[in-house]
Amino acid sequence: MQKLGKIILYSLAFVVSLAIIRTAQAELNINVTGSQSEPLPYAMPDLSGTNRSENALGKDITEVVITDLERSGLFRHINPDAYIQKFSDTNVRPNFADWQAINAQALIYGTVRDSGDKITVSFRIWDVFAQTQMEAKSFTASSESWRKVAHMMADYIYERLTGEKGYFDTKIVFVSERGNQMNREKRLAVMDQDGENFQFLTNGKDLVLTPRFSPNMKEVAYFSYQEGKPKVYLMNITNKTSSLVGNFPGMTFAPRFSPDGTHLIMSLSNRGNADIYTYNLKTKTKMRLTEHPSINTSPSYSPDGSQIVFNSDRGGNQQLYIMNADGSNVHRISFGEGTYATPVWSPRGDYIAFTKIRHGEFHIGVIKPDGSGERLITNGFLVESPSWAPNGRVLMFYRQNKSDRNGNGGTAKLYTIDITGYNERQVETPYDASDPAWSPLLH
Amino acid sequence: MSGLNELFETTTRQSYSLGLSIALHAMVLFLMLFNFSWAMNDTDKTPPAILMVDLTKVQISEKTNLPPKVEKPKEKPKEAVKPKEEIKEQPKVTKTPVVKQEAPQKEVQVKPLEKEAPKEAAKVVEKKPPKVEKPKEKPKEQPKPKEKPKVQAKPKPKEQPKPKPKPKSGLQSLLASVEKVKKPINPAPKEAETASVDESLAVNDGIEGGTSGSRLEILSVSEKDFIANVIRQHWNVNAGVENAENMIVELSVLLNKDGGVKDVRILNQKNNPAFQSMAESARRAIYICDGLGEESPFRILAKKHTKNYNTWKNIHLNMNPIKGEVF
Repeated sequence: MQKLGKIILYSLAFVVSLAIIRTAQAELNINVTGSQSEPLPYAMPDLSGTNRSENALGKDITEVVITDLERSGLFRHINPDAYIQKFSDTNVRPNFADWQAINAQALIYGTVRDSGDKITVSFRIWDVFAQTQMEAKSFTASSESWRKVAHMMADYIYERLTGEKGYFDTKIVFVSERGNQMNREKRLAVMDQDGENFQFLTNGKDLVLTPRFSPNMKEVAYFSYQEGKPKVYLMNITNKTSSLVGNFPGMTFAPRFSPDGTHLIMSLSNRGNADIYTYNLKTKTKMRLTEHPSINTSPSYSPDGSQIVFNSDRGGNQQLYIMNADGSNVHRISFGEGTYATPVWSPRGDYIAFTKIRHGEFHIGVIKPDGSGERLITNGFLVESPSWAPNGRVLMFYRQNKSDRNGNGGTAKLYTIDITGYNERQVETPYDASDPAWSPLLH
Repeated sequence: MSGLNELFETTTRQSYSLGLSIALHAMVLFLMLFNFSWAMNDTDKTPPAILMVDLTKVQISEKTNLPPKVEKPKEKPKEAVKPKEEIKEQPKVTKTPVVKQEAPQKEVQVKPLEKEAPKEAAKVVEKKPPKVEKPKEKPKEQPKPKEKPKVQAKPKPKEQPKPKPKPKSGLQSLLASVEKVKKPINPAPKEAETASVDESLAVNDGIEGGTSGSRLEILSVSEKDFIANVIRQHWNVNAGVENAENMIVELSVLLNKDGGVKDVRILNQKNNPAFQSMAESARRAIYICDGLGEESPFRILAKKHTKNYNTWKNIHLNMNPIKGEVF
C-alpha cells in the first residue's frame, strides 16, 4: 500500500511540475481592440535622374504622386529637408535607421530615365519599421504620358499601403458652366481627376446634364435638349459625335450604363408618369422594368449587375428602393425623414450614396444596401450628384451657392469627400462645374 | 509490285503529313511572332501603351548608395567623412564607433537643419526628453546602481565632443533619435546589458494588481491592458476599410530577454489585400513600440518580470482595429 501511495504521490508531483513548466512557457495572449486613423507618414525623395532634365522630370513626377496621395487624406509626406540618406539608384537597400528616425513608416524612392521618346520610371516601396520591401515596379511609356505614369505610380503606392485599389489614373466627365444663371452656358467637359488635361466635348449650344462614362471609356451617355427634344444621347469620345438613344415617346433622362456596358438604364417620362427602362445598345431593344403610377427614376446598377437602386414616390414621398435587374422584388431601403434622390451604388458594393433634402437643406449620405447604416457625410445649400471613385472610397459631387434675383452668384464647384465624411477637398476646374461622373481606373 | 505501290503510297502519305505538319508548325510560329492585339482593340481603354515590369525580384545591393559620395574625401584630406559611412552599417557592434559616427554626421546635416528647421526634426525633439529624463527618475525609485551608469554612459560621450552644437537642438535630437532607433535593430548586445539590470529590478518590484499569486504564471490584467493600450496608440489604420470590423489580425511577437522585439510574424495571412495591409500596419505598430526604447511596453514588461522570461517571451496578439463603430 505504501508503495502504491508513493507512486501516486510521485506521479501527482510529476503532473503538477509539468503543468507549472507548461504554464511558465505558454504564450502570453493579449487582445488589442481599436487603432488610430492618422495619415500615414511616408518619405519620398524626388526620383533621381542622370542629368538635369531627368532630374527635373523626376521632380515633376514626384510632385504629382505626392499631390495625389496627399489629396486622399490617408498619407502625409515628410518634409525632404529631414531626409538623411540620399539615393541615386533604385537597387539599393535603405539605411532604415535614418528613416525610422524621422518616423517615416513607408519609404518610396526611385529613378527616371528619359531616352528622348520614352521614359522609364522605376521605384521601390519599403516598410521602414518592418524593414521589408513591399513593392517594386518599373513603367516604360511615351514621354508625353509622364503624368499618367505618375498617377499610375500613385495608384500602386496607394494600393500597396492601404490594400485598396487607387483612383488617381482616372478621368472626370462633367458639365462646365459659365455665365449668368438666367442664361447659363453648359458644356460637357472631360479632365483628369486632378483637374489637368481639361477639354470640352460639346460646343455649348444645347443644355447638357448628367453625363456618364461607359465602362470602356469610349462613350458618354448624357441628357440634352439637342434637336429641341429633352432626350438621352450617346457621344463617341474619340470623334465627339452624338446620337439619340432609342426612339422613345416622351422624355428620357437619368441614364447610366450597366456594369458590362451592354445596356443603358434610364427613366422615360410620358404623360406625367416616369418609369425605368433598359435599352440594349446592340439589339436596340428596350425593356420596361417598373410599372407604377408614380415617379420612378435615377436608376443605378449594383456592381455585379444583379440589382438596381432607384428612387420613387410610390410610398408618399421620394425614397430609395431596390429591385432585381429584371424589375422583380421591389423593396424600400430608406425610411428617414426628408426626400431621397440620385442614388448611386458603390463600385465595391457596400454602400449606396444618395442626395437627401431635409429642412430645406441638401445633404449627401451613404446607406448600406440592406437599408442600415445611413450616414450623412456633407451638406449645404445645394450639394448634388454624388459619383463614386472606382475604389468606392471617395465621392465626388458638386456644391452650388445661392444666386441673387438677377442670376448672379450661384457658383458651382466640384468637391471630393471620403466616405468617412472627412477630407472634403475642392477640385480645381477652369470654370464652374456640376454633375461630375468618375471614370473607371484607366490601367 | 503491290508491295512497291504500298511503299510508294505510304511514302506519299508520310511526306504529305510531314508537309502538313511543317505548314501547321510554321503557322503556329507565325502566330506567336506577330502580335494581333490591334485586331482586338475594342476593349482598349487608353491609347498610350505603358509597359510595366515587376522589380521585386531584382537583386538589391545591401549597401546604400551613400558610399560613392564618401569616395570624394579619399582624394582630399576630409578623412572625417569616411568613418561615417563605414560606421553607419556597423554601429551596434562596439560602443566607441557610435560616438565617432555622430560627430561627422552633424557636420553634414547642420546646413539643412539650420536653414529651414524642418517640422519632422521638431517632432524628434519631442521624443528625446522622455529618454533623458527617465534615467534621472528611475534611480530615485530604484537605487540599483547598475542601471544608472549604463543609461547615462551613452549620452555622456555624445555630448562631450560637442562643444559648439549645443544650440543646434534640432540636429542633436535628430541624431539622438537615429541612435535611439538604431538600438532596437541590433538587440543582441543590449540583451546582456539589460538582463542584468532587469534582475536587480525584479528583486524590488512586485506585480501591481497581480491577483494570481504566482509571478510565474501570468501578468495582471492591468499590465496586459497597458501593453494593449500602447500598441493601440501606435497602430495606424486607414479609416473606411471595407469590413474592417470583422478583421482580426493575429501576431506572434518573439521577445528578447531585455524586451527587445526579436521577430514579429503574421499568423493569419490572407489573400485579401485590405487584410494584408491591415496586418502589416499591425506588425509595424509592434516595431514602432519597440523603437520607443525604454518606453517600449515590452521592455517595461521585461524589467518587471525578468525572472519569468518564459511566460512572456512569445506574445500572441489578437488585434481588431475597430472599437465600437465601423468608422
